[in-house]
Amino acid sequence: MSFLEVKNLHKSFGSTQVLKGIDFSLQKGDVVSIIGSSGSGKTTLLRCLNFLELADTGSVFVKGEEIFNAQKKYADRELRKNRLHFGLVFQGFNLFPQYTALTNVRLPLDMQTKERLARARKAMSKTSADSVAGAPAKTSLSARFKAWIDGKKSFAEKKKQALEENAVKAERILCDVGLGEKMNNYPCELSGGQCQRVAIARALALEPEILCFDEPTSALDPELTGEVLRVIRSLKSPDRAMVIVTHEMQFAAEISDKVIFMADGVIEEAGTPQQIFRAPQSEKLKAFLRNYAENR
Amino acid sequence: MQELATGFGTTLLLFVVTLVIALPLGLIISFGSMSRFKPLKYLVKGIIWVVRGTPLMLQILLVSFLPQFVFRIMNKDITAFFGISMSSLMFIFVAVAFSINYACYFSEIFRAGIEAVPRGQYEAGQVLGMRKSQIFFSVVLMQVVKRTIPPMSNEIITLVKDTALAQVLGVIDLLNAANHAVNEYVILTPLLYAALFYLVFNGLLTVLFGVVEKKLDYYKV
Ligand SMILES: Nc1ncnc2c1ncn2[C@@H]1O[C@H](COP(=O)(O)OP(=O)(O)OP(=O)(O)O)[C@@H](O)[C@H]1O
Ligand SMILES: [Mg+2]
Repeated sequence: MSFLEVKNLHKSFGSTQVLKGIDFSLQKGDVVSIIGSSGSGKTTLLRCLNFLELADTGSVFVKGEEIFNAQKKYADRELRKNRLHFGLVFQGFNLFPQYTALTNVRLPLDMQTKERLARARKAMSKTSADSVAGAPAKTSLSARFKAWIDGKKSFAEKKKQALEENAVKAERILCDVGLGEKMNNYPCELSGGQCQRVAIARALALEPEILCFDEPTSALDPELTGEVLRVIRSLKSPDRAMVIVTHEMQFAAEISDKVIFMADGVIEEAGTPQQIFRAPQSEKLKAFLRNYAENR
Repeated sequence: MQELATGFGTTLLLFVVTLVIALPLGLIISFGSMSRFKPLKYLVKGIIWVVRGTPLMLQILLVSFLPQFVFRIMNKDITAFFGISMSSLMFIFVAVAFSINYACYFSEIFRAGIEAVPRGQYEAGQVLGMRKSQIFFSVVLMQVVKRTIPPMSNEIITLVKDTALAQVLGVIDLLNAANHAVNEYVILTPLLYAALFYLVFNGLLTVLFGVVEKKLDYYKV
């Protein structure tokens, strides 16, 4: 069973067919690079995986479980839950400008914590209300009030603790990407490379099983790409898979277990870096690589 | 002098009431004008068009006299019906007209501010598992606030000066009080006092907006 399996994805915008049947799969721990010329549909594919676009046909499986099927209708809540299997790092970072690096990383975690606690609390107050209703109606009002206050207090305590844990986790991840010193800076005070590393930390904090990157270094000055690529390299781990759309062929060759070459909305060729870069088969891939070698 | 002081008071009250109602109402109207439900969108846009396309003065007159007219036709006493004095009633009518008018102007400012937030901000929120409301309140809103402060401060300063329009209805307002005083003493000082009041008021607001803008300087949108 594959860790991620994508079956027959199609996506059109109006009358332009952008994805014309994409099938691929990857294993846990895999790093897959997607290369291809501009307009071939790489970004659209990643957006479909993260449900920023909904594919017209096709389905997506994670660990054998169908998390998306174009035939079905999904409620907003389900999409929200299912997309958490994936993380996405954007070309343009998309950090939240009004928050520090640390808050950028914490915010989604804190929201999930609060939501989880609110749900737990609702469930608990329901069961306690049931038990009160079931018990002989002798429980005095003051006792009930006291129980209510205690419940509130213990929840406040729990929440504080959970948020504290989030902060610690966010700090640790920021240190991991080399930004221990910059945690309290705002995005406008950081370089492009640092911003992208914050964005990576933010995606990592939610512990996605499949982390996607859309040209993570394309918006950076050449001298800043190195630090970001180094971080991405360090993220290769047996616990997650990564899908990286990139124009950095050297990097793709080095980090990938598998390379996918896309052209005109289909996977034209796929294989190990060796196969793709040393022994390309299709004319399109040969032309693409020749073009790349000439233009660098 | 006594009359002038009351005038200051009423002017201030009208200003505050209008802001408190028009700011949130403007936000709601801006949602309406961006709605994906076409009939609502065009209805709201139509209302905005009418309100912005006609003089505030006419709107005040309409909102104030239409109810009185209707009550007259029905042969009922409007003050008795609402149980408050005529001048309070007039104040309410004027405040309603101001609030609706300014809400429409504010809504256009909010709309521009919201539409200027890049799509990437929403998408980042979505990918990070946020709900739509979480994205709006935690991610988008502060960016909208920052973008809208300069046009908003313009509009609010205009509002201060527009409160002078309330005088046509005899809702005691600053200029009105000054006018009375001028007639009585035949000197221009009361009018100068009134001018000074508006000037100082707007000066304070300008300083306030400057401070807020500075406070939000720590991030760029
Ligand atoms: N929202 C959209 N509406 C209409 N057309 C779109 C939309 N998004 C993408 N397209 C079109 O789909 C095609 C593929 O776009 P996509 O961004 O997936 O390409 P890409 O492989 O990521 O290219 P690049 O290397 O330039 O990033 C392009 O022709 C583009 O114009
Ligand atoms: Mg792209």
